[in-house]
Amino acid sequence: MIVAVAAGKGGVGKTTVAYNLGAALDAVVVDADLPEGRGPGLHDVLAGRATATEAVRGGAVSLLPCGRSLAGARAADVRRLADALRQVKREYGDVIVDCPAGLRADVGVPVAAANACVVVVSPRRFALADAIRTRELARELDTGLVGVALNRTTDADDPPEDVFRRTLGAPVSTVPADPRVGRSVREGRPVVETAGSSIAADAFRSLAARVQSCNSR
Amino acid sequence: MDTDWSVSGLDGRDDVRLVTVELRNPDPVDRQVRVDNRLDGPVLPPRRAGVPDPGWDRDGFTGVVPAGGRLSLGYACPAAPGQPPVSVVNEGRASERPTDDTETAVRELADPRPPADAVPDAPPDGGDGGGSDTDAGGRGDSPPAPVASWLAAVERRIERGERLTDASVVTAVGGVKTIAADGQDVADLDARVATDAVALRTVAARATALVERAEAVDIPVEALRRLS
Repeated sequence: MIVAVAAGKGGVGKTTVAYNLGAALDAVVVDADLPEGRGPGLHDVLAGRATATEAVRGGAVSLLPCGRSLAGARAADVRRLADALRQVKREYGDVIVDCPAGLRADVGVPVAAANACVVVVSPRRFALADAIRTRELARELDTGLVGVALNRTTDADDPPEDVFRRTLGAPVSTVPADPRVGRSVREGRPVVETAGSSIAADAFRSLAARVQSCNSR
Repeated sequence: MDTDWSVSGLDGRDDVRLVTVELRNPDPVDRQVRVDNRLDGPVLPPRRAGVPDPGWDRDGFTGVVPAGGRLSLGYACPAAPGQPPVSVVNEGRASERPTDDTETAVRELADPRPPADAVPDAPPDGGDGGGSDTDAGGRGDSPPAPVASWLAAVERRIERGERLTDASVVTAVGGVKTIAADGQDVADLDARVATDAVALRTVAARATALVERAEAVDIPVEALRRLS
């Protein structure tokens, strides 16, 4: 299945959630902000210069990085994204797409192509408005919201899980602020491997279970 | 199904027709219709964000006229006028048609690509700079695309520099802010324009020399043909 990880707002840790959820589901993570490395990326796929499977890279989590040059972004045709995601799904199984921040077509297309959507929010009340906008977009495009990742909570926050659960109408997984989660993308080591018994790893596993239960329905 | 249509010209373009079609459904049920273009040219449908509105394809439109209601359509077609411009087929009672969510998303949400102006130094193919060293094209009296894009980028930098040269404090501050917003430092810009000046002078000298050599070329085509 294809799962879109979205957030109305940037900087809430969407990439980290996508990466660690990808590890928990053994899925390919397609991402806008991953380290690029060498070889073709998503922009090349969207510009018709490479196939989606050529651009996937192995590792602790298989990745399809986006590419970062403005010229690459300019040449990319977002309409090819849906086909690219389906191709990766055919070859590799599950796909997690880390959508960019905001509500442009580069969010709408993966959400439309996805079977399910996970929304990442920060534990602040003002984050709710962005999350609701993202949920509305998913609803318009017939993609169900399977879970909410309430990311980087601290004890001081008294995470408003109930508010988010009631307002968004989806189960909430609370991911506590944990430096191992923060480092996971940079070091290429997902937290379910490096700290399998941590609360954060539990949160990602519970989110993964929700995604899978939606898949089997 | 009652149908009205009109064909009009487009100001300043003799080769394009604008076709409007109004469909009226007197029946108490929704009706599915197919409108096919009969002019001798492709249908240029209404688009948003580059994506045709729902129901349009290369040859016409498929959609639903509501019970007792109307549906107005319009498209452009690069063709000579003809009558009637369209054929309308009533396809019976309307049924649910699947919609393409990808197209909906692109149509309804803004284009995510950075504007062309944001990539001044990009090669025009948007590639990774691994271009070939053969002739890059260029027809008639316009330079090849990579040269034109380089010159345009240089010109933009020089224009920015000119705005800051002899500027009043107010415009200079505004300019500094604009440039800072572009992620470029004023000192950078000054150095860059100076480098541009050197490069332009080198190119100018090389171009002048090549023009002289090109004009001196005079191949004795006839003589060579006789020899071969």
